[in-house]
Amino acid sequence: MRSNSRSVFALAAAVALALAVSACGDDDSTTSSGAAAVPEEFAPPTEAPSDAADGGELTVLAAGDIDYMDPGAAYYQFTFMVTNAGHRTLLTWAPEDTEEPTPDGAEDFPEVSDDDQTLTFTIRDGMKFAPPVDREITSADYKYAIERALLPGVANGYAAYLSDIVGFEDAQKQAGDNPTAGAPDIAGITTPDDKTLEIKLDKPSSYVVTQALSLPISAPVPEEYAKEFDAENPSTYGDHVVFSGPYMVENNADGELTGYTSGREIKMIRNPNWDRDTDFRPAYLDSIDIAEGFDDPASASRKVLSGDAEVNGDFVPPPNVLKEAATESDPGQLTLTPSGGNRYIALNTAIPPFNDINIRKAVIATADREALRNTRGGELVGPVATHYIPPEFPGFEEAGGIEGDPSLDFLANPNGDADLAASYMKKAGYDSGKCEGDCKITMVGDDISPGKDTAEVFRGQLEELGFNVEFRPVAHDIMYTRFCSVPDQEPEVCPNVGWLKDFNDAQSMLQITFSGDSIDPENNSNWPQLDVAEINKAIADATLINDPDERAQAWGEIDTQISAQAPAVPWVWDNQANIKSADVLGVVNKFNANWDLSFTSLPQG
Amino acid sequence: MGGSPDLMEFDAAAIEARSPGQLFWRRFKEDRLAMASLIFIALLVLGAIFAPLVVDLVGAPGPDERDAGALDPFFATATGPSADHWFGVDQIGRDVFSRTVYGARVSLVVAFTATILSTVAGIFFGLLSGYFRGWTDTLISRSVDVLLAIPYLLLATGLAAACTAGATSGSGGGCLGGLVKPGMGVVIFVISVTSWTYMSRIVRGQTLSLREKEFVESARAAGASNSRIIFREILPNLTAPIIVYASILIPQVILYEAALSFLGVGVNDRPSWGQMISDATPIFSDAWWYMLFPGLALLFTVLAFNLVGDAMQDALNPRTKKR
Amino acid sequence: MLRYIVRRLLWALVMLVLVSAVVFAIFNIFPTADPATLRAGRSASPDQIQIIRESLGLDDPKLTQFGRYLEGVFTPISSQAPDVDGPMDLGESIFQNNTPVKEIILDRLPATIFLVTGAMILWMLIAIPVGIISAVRSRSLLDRTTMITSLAFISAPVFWLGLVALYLFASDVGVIHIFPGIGSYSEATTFWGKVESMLLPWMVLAAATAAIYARYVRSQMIEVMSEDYIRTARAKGLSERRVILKHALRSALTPIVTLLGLDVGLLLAGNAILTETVFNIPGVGQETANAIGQSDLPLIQGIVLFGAFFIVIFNLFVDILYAYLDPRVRYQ
Repeated sequence: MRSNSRSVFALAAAVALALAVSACGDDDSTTSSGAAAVPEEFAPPTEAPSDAADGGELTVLAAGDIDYMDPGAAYYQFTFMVTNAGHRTLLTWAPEDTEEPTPDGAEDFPEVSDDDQTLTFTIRDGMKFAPPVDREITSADYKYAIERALLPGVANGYAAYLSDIVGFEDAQKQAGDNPTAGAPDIAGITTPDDKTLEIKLDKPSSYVVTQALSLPISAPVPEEYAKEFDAENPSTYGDHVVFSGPYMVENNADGELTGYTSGREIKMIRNPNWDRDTDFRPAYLDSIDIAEGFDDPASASRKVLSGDAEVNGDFVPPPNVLKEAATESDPGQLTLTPSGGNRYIALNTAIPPFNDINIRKAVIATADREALRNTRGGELVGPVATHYIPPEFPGFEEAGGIEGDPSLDFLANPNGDADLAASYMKKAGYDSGKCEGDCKITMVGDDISPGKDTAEVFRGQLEELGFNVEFRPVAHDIMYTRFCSVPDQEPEVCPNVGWLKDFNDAQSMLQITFSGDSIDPENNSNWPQLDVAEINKAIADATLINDPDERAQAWGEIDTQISAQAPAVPWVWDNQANIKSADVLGVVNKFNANWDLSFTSLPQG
Repeated sequence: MGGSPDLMEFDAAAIEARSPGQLFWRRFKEDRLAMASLIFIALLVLGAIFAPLVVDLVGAPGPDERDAGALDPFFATATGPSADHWFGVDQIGRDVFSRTVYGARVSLVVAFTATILSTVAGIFFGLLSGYFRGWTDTLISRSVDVLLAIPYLLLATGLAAACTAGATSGSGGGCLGGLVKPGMGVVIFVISVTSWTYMSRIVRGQTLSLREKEFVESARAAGASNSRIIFREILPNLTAPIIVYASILIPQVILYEAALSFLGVGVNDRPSWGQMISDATPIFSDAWWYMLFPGLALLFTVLAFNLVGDAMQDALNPRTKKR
Repeated sequence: MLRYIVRRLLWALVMLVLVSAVVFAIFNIFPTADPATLRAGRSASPDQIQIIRESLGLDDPKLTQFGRYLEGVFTPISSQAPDVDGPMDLGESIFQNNTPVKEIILDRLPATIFLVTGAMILWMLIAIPVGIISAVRSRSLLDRTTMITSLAFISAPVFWLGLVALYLFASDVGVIHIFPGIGSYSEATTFWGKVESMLLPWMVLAAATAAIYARYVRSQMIEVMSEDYIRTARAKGLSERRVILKHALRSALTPIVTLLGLDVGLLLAGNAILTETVFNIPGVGQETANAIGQSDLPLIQGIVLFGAFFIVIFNLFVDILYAYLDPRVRYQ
């Protein structure tokens, strides 16, 4: 999913942070004592106070716009803030959920058949669409929602997680051949009655399919209303979305969203057809005003901290304001939430010199990962990463927790270890411990801070090993679409890559990014181009594990296997900084690492 | 701008034995402010060429050296002027003084190269269209019209972004088949492409009137070839307006480069003033030193070039003396 | 006069087509990020990208694409795509929910117009008196100081001037809390609130331009003051004040109006990008900066073309005005 950056890809500009163990300026004791990623004083509140009351309007400040109002296309952290309050997806993430979601549009978790290939959801009673549709929500609305997401005009970005559903590929082809003929039928999704949704799979991958259905792709869409919009390419349903959750975007009698001006404002009001008895969300607020266009994160953050606005939306405070927030504001105004993302410097394993594992290990060993992390705002940014599954994630502890796997010496010292690096260079055949001869390396990275800073710091570190680095700064999207995501064009080093989870399962962190089977000629996200047969197989096998504990174990082991291959320099697991004005009773949704609009409230009376 | 045609006649009729050059210099010298600016520019050029020496002399670290210890110990943010770092350090601990000194290189190289390129292109097309008139003139003049109708700053920004994207990483990127390299190459290219038009218009206007003059007519009557007439008869008479306009162009180009770098599509692979201000923007309220010093460097440099340009204009054409 | 206007109008139309062609060519020949890949999202397979590429018509020959583009821009309907919302259909943004580019521009335009208009009034109010006084007191100490000061303003990068102004005067982070700071324009809800939030940007944008105009007014005035008819007016015993304001200023301002038309056109067309970026004013220029950061090709292309329209239209306006003021032009 898109993180807090205005780019399609993960992790561009989010200046996140987390506090390492100790409080102040002690260079040595950063991340290695196995403590939690976030210190107590900045821990995110996940429950509303007992005296929380209805009423009030919350102003959310945002720099940019959501990506798509259409829940079938929405694929961006900030958008999920809106969809979570506006839609009743089959499953959803309650504020405190980190391991598994909470049933929402479905009465309960799906009934899974013994062969793990049939999921049966029972749709909750008493849910109604907001005006102008005003009718009971049925299982057919969920079926249609998933099917329409395959239309090129909707362009869902993560539907591939559902590709094991019977008939998925046929439907996708049908939609591609005829993009304006309406949503294709997916044979494996059936609705025996109004309350039952049955999903049949080709493979026993019920766990991942269930998780993927916690995303907005499963927000119900009424076919009779939406089909005229979906007959267009691109679909215009985004301008006419019908809501089902506690809140809706203001609209007129035709369903046109009058409360949404891209880049300016999203005005959410209570959905009159929402019945509190059917929902676990308290929905205290009467209305939510998302004010967009506050492009300058520093001044926008100060407005929130000073009480001119209530909470932050898509931006996070930059390091200098973070400092103010952490040291000068009231307790609770700043919260830190592990965002479920990592950042690393990809070493292209397909071409010299990084096709040699010893050289890769030498580079990782030499890297001062703490200095890399500091380019995003110092010790508060987050723990220095030692592997790829982020904190508070299934599989994280199994992969060694904060400290990582002790057998991997090259990842042991966050400040770098020159002697160890030299020893690996010797193993690679450079007796001097440094690169000799033609040591030219191209590195393509971001052209703006803080990404560019990270790249430049890393350039200095590579040069210490004797490499001659040519750094080409380009726009973040260009970096991906023309260089780092195109294996043919990929340089030796891509310093500004990273991944943000799609949902809280390690498969969504590791499969696309490190399985050799995921390498694509374009839009590739396996940036190191790591292609190791045993890892590929382990990943393929692990996708079919459906027991949560076994799954965490398996993916944790895969993470360690990947780290042992030294495909990249992992340097941070970032946490997201969220801020609020002093009087807001904020609740953070840990899954989305953002304020939960259905739980946050304002003091009344 | 654009000297009136009769200023050449004025120069031609210059008093007795003094050459126009000597006259020009005598008048220029009278302007003390311009002389001071000229000295400043000379020092700046020297400082840029010998940047490593200058930086060494004051004991500052190199422009790319990071002094992690100079950053805020907890938040790793930039810190202000100190004994070790006269102008403070930036957000990753690099010395702002050192980067400001090195930044002069980019400004000056871009300023001179882009000015020369657009001047040469402007002279070439201006001469062609003014001398041959007819369809050549129509074609060139209309192309100039079209180019002038495109908002140059947006066009340059878009072009620079596109060129920086480059074709492949193997070829080193850039555009026009790798001829234009990302970084300074792209900036010089983009500025030249959008700046030659005014020069072309001026040269065209002058050529149109010069080609009707007697000395051109007589050269033609004597059987001189077109190229001979253009380069031997017309071009020398255009020196004055060309120099004046080029001198006006230099400070504009410096600001142009800074603007592109500020917008993030300029020079960003080495220290440049515009880039530094751009990096300083998100933290300007705290790290004032980071935006102040490169900005002052820009201000003084551009001012110096402007003062010299003004004085040159006055010296060449005393009747429209600006001050 | 009418014939001149018609001729000029026709040429303006031709210019627009040519400009469209140049803009289209530039942004399609030079390398940019692939719109289909950008739109497809992170996990899209090559097949999905191909489907999107086809649906966007990116595989058609460039000439076909250009034809389609022109049709969208200039005609109210299209033969090939029924959903064309012309004229001025500039395509759809990749990043902003497929919002039509036209809509985004129209949404952003008021802020830019407000910025440019206010700054223009301010700079003329400064430049004319300063220029006149300098011209009248030509070569005095006052004149010299004014001219050098104005040269300093011309020499300062406008974005830097903006930052310094904010550092000194912004109400949230400034040394002295006087003017509303960054982003205050978006927040202001009333007209006067918007005016207040624009004060600093107006001053910054006007500073450099006022300096240029003051110097221009001065040199025009000096030239006009030496003309015969001014001497005649003086000889007739008119007061110096009357001579300057009534006779000299009038003819000195004619060429300045022309320059003004061109400058305002350029600023509206996006050259206010630097001021907008620094003060975070949601105008057309700032939108371009965002679009470039995201490689939102249709948006960049649309804005550049739209800006060109402004310039062509202001050129046309200036030419006609000039022809009206100076009849000789019409017959050239």
